[in-house]
Amino acid sequence: MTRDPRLALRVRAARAIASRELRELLRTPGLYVALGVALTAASLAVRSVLAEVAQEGLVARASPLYLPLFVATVVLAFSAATTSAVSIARERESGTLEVLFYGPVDAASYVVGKYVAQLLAYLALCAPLAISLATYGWVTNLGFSADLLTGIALSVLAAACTIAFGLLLSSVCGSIRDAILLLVGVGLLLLGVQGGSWLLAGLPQREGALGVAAETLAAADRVVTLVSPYSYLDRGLQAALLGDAAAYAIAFASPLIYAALLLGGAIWSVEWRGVRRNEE
Amino acid sequence: MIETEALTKRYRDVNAVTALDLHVEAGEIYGFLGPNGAGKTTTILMLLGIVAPTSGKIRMFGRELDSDAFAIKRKVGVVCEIQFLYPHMTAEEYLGFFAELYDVPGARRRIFELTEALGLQDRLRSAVRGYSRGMQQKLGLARALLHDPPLLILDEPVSGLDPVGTREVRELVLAENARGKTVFISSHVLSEIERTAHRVGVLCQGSLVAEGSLADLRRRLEATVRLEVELQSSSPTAVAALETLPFVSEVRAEGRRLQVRVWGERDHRADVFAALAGAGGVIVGMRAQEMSLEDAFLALATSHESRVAGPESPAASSGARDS
Repeated sequence: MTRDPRLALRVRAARAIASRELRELLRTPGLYVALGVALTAASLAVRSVLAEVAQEGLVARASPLYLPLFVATVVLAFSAATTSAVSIARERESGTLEVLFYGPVDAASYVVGKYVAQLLAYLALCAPLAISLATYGWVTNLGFSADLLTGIALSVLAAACTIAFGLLLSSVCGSIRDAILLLVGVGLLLLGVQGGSWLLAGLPQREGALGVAAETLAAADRVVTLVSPYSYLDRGLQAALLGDAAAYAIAFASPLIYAALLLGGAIWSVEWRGVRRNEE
Repeated sequence: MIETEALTKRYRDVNAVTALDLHVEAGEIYGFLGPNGAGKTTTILMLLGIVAPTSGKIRMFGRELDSDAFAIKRKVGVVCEIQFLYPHMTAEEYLGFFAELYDVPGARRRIFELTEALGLQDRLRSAVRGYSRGMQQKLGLARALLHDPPLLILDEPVSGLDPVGTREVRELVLAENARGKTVFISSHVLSEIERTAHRVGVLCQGSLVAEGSLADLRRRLEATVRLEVELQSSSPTAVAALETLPFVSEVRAEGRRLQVRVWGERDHRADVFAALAGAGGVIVGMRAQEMSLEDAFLALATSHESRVAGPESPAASSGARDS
């Protein structure tokens, strides 16, 4: 079988970029700080579950370690999104992106290389996360079921979406500062939509302009929920618990499609925005 | 090796490069000359596919750049004025990464050979952030040569280097050319191009105003003689009379002093004298001065700028004219 030589060159470029990026990610403290924060947050979640058990006198959850897993995933995936969001912008700002494109690198191989590295870094964190959750389960007698391994696999898909989202944001920015501001701005917007929707939904009287605002925010909230990687994780965990095969398949397939769309957007954006650094 | 056809780049209302026709032969060192802002870097960025041309065609290695940019760029080594290195990486890591990117066989040996040749061996495992400008430039050269490309594109490669570093880069360029590499070298420093290039193209305001072998260009440029004429009083009619003479390339008037550039090897002082006298000018002094190659290059650039600026500009009103 003959391979397309152009595809082979692209794969080689993506592999070289992924390899360099992964080495850098693994030797910088950010990754380990994120892991530390995630495990601390997970342990606090375990504590809250234990407090609930103490209060109720029984374990009221089908899988008590899902909450710690969800919390840890939120932290790790957000950290991956942040790292991704600055990665292309940093290279564009420093001029190294342009130098890469002097050679056999194009937008697709570059973005895919970056994406694979971030995803592999996340996967590297899954092992300590699984060990920690198993340890929590053993120490607290909450147990560690095979469902949790499925949950960890679903968390990888959530991270796959947040990383692609971060790369999309980064691909349009010319500096680290711009990328961080954009990430914070988007984050605040999403929180604003969710918070606003929740606040307005709680009001006793919603008429006139307030009613329109409440409806609009509720609709926006539904969209946010639909596109939020964390909601995919939540839906996947629920499907795993209920043993709903169709929901389970959707929970696996939809983040993959979503991530592919975001990545395609990032590739197009690098081509559209160009690789030159901003002239001072 | 490199061919461009009516290559044009327009940024909003500004033409950075206009209808550029370049032809670089395999095995030659082509000097791409022009003052800062002439469009040299824009041209190089178009050749590398970093900047998309507004119109025109680029062919490299006999193929359209658009048709297979990926494969074409694997055969090109590029060094720019600033290297944009990864500061936290060591030279070994940096070159190792690019060796992986270009799939260089025997990468470790190749890195060793190059860094030894460029005098970077001792600092191979030091972070690049501690490198001097000259060392960074050498590392950029090592990166460009790593995959042994048949074409080198160098944009102001000696800018900011000390004389020793400049000489080392020059010797390396000549050595690589002797090994069969084609070199496209851009610079605003004529003396640097003069020592390396076989052929030269002069770019001014995005247009190629002269091209040829260095000997041809030298003959053409050095054939220019500058006459300094002092009149008793300023005389616009005398200036206008000089502008009509076919061998006069440029007239600049500063009060009653005129600077007249004339083409050709013949002594035109008598003709100039006659033209001025016929226009009512009274000459109190005249001096002929041969131009250096550097002066002539500048004259070529200035002359083109004046012509492009049009009749409303002060430079043009002094009667600048290119042959």
